[in-house]
Amino acid sequence: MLKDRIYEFFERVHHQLRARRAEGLAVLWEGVKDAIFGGSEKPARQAPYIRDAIGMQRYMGAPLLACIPLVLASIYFYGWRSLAIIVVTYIVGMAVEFTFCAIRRHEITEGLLVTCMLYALSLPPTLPLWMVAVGIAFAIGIKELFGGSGYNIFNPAISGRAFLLLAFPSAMTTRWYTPFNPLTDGLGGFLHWSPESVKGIDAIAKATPLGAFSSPDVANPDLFTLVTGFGRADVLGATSAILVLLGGLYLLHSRVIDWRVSIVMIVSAGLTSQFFNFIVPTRFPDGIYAVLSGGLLFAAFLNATDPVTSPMTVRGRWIFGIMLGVLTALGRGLTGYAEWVTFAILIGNMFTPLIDRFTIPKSFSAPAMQKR
Amino acid sequence: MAVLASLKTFKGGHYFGLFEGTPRGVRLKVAPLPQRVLIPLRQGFSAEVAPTVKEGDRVKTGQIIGRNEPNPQKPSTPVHASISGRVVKIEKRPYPLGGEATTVIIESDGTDEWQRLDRPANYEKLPPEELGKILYEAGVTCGGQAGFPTVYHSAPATPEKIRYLIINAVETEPFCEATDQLLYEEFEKFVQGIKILRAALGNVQVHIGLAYNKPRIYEELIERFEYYDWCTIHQLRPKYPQGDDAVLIRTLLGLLLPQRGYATDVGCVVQDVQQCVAAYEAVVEGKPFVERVVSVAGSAVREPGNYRVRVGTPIGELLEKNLKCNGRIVMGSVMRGQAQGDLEAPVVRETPAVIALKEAEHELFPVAGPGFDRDSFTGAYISLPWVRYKRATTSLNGNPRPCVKCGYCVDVCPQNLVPALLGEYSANGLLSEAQEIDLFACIECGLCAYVCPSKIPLLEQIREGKRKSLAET
Repeated sequence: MLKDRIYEFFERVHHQLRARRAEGLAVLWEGVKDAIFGGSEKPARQAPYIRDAIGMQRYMGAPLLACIPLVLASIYFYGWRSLAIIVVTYIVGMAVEFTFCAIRRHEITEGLLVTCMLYALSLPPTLPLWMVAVGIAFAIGIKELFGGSGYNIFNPAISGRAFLLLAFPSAMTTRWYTPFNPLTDGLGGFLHWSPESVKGIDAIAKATPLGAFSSPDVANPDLFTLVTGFGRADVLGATSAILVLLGGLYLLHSRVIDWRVSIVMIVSAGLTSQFFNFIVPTRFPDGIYAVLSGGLLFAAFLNATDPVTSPMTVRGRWIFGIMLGVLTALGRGLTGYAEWVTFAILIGNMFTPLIDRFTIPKSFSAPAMQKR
Repeated sequence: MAVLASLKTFKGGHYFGLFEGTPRGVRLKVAPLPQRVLIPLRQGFSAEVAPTVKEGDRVKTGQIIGRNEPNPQKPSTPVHASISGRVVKIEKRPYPLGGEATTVIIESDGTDEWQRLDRPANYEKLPPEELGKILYEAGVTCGGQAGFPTVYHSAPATPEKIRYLIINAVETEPFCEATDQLLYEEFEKFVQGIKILRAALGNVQVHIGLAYNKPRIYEELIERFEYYDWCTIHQLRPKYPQGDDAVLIRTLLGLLLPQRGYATDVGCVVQDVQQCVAAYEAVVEGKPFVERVVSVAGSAVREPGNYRVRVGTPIGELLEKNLKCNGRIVMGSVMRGQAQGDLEAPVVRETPAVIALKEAEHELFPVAGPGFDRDSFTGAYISLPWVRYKRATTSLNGNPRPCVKCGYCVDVCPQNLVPALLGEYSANGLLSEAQEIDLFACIECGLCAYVCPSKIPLLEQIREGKRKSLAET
């Protein structure tokens, strides 16, 4: 059969590579084989002899699936340039990761694909492509320095974004496009490279919704704009709140993310902001506005829930979710800086090992009996 | 009336789909008499017993071939010949549940001549000691995870310490359908068996845990036990591992088992359907426990079925001509059992099933499909009501990866542990750290390793950690 012959071919080449001591290439080749066969040929050697159908491919595939509407929407909103950002991210990210894997001879893991996707979708549509490349190279490089997927302390997508925020603050925070609006622009971005290539200087927007809130001379967008993303300037993936919510609900349903991180973070950020809105309405937006702006939904569903850098225990996830939400809302209000989702997640990541350490649940057992 | 209609369950666990090759609803058949049987002198919760026969002896079905003097340090139960014939050999052989055991090999003479126990005239009036003696002599007392206590030291506790008799009528292991089938077909014996077991313990409280998807049995049980204030019937969700002693006792009574302890430590005895029926057959029919129900199941089996099998029958005879393809043969449980390379491995008194699974085979892009026929703890695959059977092969369904701390093992653990950490500590030799987070509270249900998307052999790591810790102390 065809699949048997393909498998044999892979095995043969792998064998050849090993025989010629090209260990690095063998690792990459193994990665290709694993991608194609998905581990279906590997038998369980110890009990349990049947295993759940979920593998790392499906597990990491779910966030990608949730991101597909966001990718399509970002192409529509910001033209094909947004796809270029994603493609550059993948090319550079894979190149860095494969180099590390070949040198350090560890397996290529599926988390890379999610990291690249989430990183690209959290960038402003105006960002020069070379900056995109620098950021992802930093993100993957740092992850690999800590030992690769599973051992990293910081969420790689967020650490790449944070690096860009500090290295290129004005490119990251001051230049935005007003997206194509389905109500007026027809096929919009599907026909154009970027809004700027059609509308010229008119396409440049002053601020994202959260930026608009803290600057007095820009009008705040209304709720409809916030939810649908029609005419809302924001990062690639987070423009349309409703699509992010759709992906988030799918992820919650598929159990790949936990509501104790995502929903708890959203609710606690909303409540905190709402509470302080009563006291200092100029610095704190109301709860709904806080939740729908600044990439909070996107980050809560897709970044904060990164399994590696969030706690494992149930209590730990509650703590983590609340901590992230409160930090985001407080940080935004107190500093006036719009990027507090990013910083909250980074701070939360630092506390994750500590939270895990102190929230190990009490097992359902009585202490061991004295020896009779 | 102490009949309680409550739907109880526990935290964690997993509802398995119906796997390909599960003999659900298949009527019990009597397996043909084996030509030869291999009977390990260690059955159930029992120390190895000394043989009472020599090579060349003639034995009858039901004759005791091995027993020890009662010894409180080493609980044991006599072992019986399960066919009549000649003892051809007594030798050390691998024991199907791990380790080695002296095994008596008997060649059949084809007559199946029985040596029955003395039947008491009126068993309902017998004192507990007399009933205990019959049960002990019949070999029924080795059942369950901690045996059945009698004055002959067949369990780690004596009968007077026991306050509750718990009947486990909730079978949640995948592929194990024979005990459910026994419940349907031998309901009368089951009910009488409960009464006998209770009488043998000195009239303790009885709690019956029954899966809630058996309303007919539930109604009949209520009809039978309605007027007894010593019996409580609980309806349970059929979630794996509800049938485990620790989980069952916690669900029914709220008692926590001590680590490294047994049900008897909290005054409970847990017996399953097969034990109840065997108790009835021993006391009323004078039949020692030499035959049990076994599911012959799995995706590599042509016709899955439920059989009454003589103890000691080599699994090869059960699977012979019934295999579709070469498969992995697992005894007892696919979740925690041991794969058997040897078709001579015998069925013992606690083998609920013999399972042959298809081996893993390579598929192109197996994750791309919707996965209608895949069982998963997650919602990442779509199930359809008309796709009845789930695929069951030995495939890992994924590549081994480093732990991503997804927390599925924490969600699924019935004992509220953090299996990922236990496994990591055990694998790296951090045994005291592992014990600090309750390594020995693990009941080895295997669910953590089942759900792990990184395919880490957590169960194996934890078992290894336990072994090493015990060796150190």
